[in-house]
Amino acid sequence: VALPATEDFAGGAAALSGSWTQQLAAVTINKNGSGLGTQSGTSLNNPTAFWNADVFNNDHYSQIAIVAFNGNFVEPVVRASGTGNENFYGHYTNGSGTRGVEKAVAGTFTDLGATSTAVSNGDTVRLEASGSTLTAKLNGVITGTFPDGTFASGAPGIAANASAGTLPTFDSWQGDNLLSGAPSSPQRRPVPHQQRRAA
Amino acid sequence: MVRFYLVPVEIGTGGNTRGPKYFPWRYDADPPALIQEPSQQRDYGNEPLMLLASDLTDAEDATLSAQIDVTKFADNLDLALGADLARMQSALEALKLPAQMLTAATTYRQVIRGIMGIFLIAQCMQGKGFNVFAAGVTLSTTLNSLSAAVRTALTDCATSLGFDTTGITGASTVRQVLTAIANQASPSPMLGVTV
Repeated sequence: VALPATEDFAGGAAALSGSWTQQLAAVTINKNGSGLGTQSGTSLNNPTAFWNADVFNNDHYSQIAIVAFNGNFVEPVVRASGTGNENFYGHYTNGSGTRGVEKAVAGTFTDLGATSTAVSNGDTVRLEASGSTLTAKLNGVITGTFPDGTFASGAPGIAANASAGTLPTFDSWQGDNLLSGAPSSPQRRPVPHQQRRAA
Repeated sequence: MVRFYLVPVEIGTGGNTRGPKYFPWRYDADPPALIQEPSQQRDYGNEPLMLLASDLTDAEDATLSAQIDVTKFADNLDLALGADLARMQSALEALKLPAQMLTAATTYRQVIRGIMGIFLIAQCMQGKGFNVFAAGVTLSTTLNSLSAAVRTALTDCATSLGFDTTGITGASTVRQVLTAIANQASPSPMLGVTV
């Protein structure tokens, strides 16, 4: 599959599959049947799916457009690998002021710190991994850099966490290698889903 | 002013979440935290310790520094340890960080930079499913005493992160390995401050 890898969540309601690997079996990243991404149901666990149809360089990014947090968490993840529990770096946000970067190592989550800017519905949230440095971005603007040496490789993907209430929705996922010496991919606020479908 | 500290890891909600004690974080089980400021932290792999940077007021700094399990570094990172040498060595050794190589002329910046290098190795070990300080392992343990899998992981981590392992043998102690790593650590940023 040609990079960048993309996902528009079109199609019937179902767990992402085929080009995607779900890290957990009990709760998954899904298409909601209305052209958006979501998670399969509320859970204390963090469903995570990563792209498996391409081999990525160690330095890559993942980005996702937030449609509605609904008070819950959505996060682009990088260097994800394995199944059975969560292994990744993630840029978590819930639209209510809680935001930052974390790592999940065999299902144990360690907080690496807060990002600088509040996130809202409609924003594009991105995480880049380059060497031992993670860079969080919001609509193309850096909101924090976080050095860590836990994971050297893996694939980009998506995680969510809705322990209660209404499930979050998201759209326009993209993952790709970082180009050495080239500027980051341009970031734009996403076209609202309904508007894009009607166009 | 961005200041640097060593703080304990706090276990949060679910029992499988880790964050900095005294600060707010995503899975913080006991908010409000003592310090209501954002932070950035690096963990010592699976060890219950974090190097933390945060932009604190003098009052917040005084409150945090008064905690018995917090190690504060000088605000001016280019100051030499001087009369603080013994306190710093004692604190670091108690946290499984080698400190015998420090002298009164060593700066706080050099101390923190070395810790960053050691933490990077510990994180890499964590990612491979290993702990530098598995049961019974201390700074005095020799590499020959570690399992072959741990030795391999340690070598792989040092190599992949660009550290030179020349001179390290099976008879070398964990202390000697971590000291060699600390001595080679490169400048690295936290919260916009390159240490």
